[in-house]
Amino acid sequence: MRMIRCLMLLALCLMAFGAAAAQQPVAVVAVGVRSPDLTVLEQKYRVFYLKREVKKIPLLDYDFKAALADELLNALAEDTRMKWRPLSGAEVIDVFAVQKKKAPLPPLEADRVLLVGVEDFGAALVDLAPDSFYLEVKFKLIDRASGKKLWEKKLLVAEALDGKLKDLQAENQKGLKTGINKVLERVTRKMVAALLLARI
Amino acid sequence: MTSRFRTILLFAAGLLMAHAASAQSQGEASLRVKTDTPDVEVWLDGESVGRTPLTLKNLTAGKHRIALLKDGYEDGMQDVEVAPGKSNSVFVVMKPRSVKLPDLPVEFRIVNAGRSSKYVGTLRVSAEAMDYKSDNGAHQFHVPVSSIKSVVRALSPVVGGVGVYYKSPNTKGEVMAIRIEASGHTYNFIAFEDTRKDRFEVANGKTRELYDIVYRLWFATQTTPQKK
Repeated sequence: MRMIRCLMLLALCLMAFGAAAAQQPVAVVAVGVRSPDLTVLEQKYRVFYLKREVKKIPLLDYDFKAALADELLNALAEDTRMKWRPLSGAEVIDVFAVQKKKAPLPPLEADRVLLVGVEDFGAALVDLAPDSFYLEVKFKLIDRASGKKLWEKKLLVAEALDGKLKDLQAENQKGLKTGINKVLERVTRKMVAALLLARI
Repeated sequence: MTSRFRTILLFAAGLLMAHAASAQSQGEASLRVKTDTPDVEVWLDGESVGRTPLTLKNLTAGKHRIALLKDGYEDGMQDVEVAPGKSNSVFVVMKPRSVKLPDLPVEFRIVNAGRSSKYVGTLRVSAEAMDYKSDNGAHQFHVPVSSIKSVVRALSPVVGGVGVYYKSPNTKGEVMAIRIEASGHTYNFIAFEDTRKDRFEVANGKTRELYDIVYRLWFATQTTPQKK
C-alpha cells in the first residue's frame, strides 16, 4: 500500500515537472548598439592637460550586433527557466529608449524581454595603462506585460590588446575582430553566470 | 520488505546518476565555430556539418580538422584540439578573395571520376560549354553551361592517394573535388597540374581555380533574365 502511494506521489511530481516545462516563459533577446563601428579611444597625458581623441573604425564583413545576439542566445540556452528567442524580422525595439523608460515596448509574442544595450565597444589606447579591447553593455530583463524590471546588470569587460592598431587592421582586420570577439565572449559568460544566480 | 525495496531503488538511482556523470565528463565535447562573415559552410573531418555560426555537439575529444568555405573568400583550414567535457570555441576571420578570371576558353588537366573508374584528361571551358576528353580517348562529355543545374565542391580526407595519382600510402590530406549536375548527369572531377609531382595544396588550388570559373559561368545563367 505504501509502495503504491510512493509511486503515485512520484507520478504526480513528474506531471508537475512536465507542466512547468510546458509553461516555460518565452523571453526575447533584443540587442541595440549605439554605433556599429569600433571605437578607438586614445588618451595621452601631457604635463598640463589630457589629450583625448576618439576615432571610429567600421568593421568590414562583421556585424557586431548580430554576433553578440547569437553568442547570447547560444549561452542563454543554459538558463532553462526561460525559452529564449531572437527578435524576428518584423519586431523592432528601440533598446536604449525602452531601457530608460522613454518608450513603451511594442507588441511582442513573448512574456519577457532581455534588453541588451551596448554603450560602446572598441580599443582603448591609454598612456600609463596597458592597451585593451573593451565592451560596455547594460542588460535589463523586463516583464513584457507590466514593464516591471526583473533583473539588471551593467558590465564593462576588458581584454589585453597586443600589438599596434595598424597591425591589428591587417588581413581583413583580423586582430581587431579577434579582440572584439574575445570581449564579446567574456561579457556573455559573465552575464549568463550572473543571470543564473539571480532569482527571477 | 519495503525498506529493502527502498534501498534497492536508491542504489539503482545512484548508479544511474554516476553513469550519467561519467559519460558527460569522459568523451563528449562541443565546439562552437564562428566566422566574421556569417553563413560560411563548415566541414568537419571531411563532412559538411552546417553554416556559421554553429555549435557542434557530441564531438569526440581530440584533434579535428575544420574547413571553412564561402564563395568570394579564401578557404579557411584549421586543426582544432577539442578538450573533453568543455565548451570549445573557434573564431576565424575569413580573407576576401579577389579572383581575376582568365580569358576563355581555358584548359585544365583533370581527373574525372566515372562510375567504375577514373580518367585523366583535359577539360576545355568556354563561355558556352565544358568539353572533356580523356587522354586515352575512351571517355568524353560535352556540358553546355545553360544545362548546369548546380555547381558544388566538397572536401574529403584521403589516405593513400586520389584516383590515379598520389600512390604513396603515406600521403594524407584533404582533397577538393567539384561536382556538377547537368541534364540528369553528375560529373565529379579534380583539377591538377602534374599527376606525379602535385601536392594536395597544388591540386586543391587548381580545383578551386576551375570551380571559380565554372561557378561564375553558372551563376551568370541564374541571374541573367532570359530573352524571349
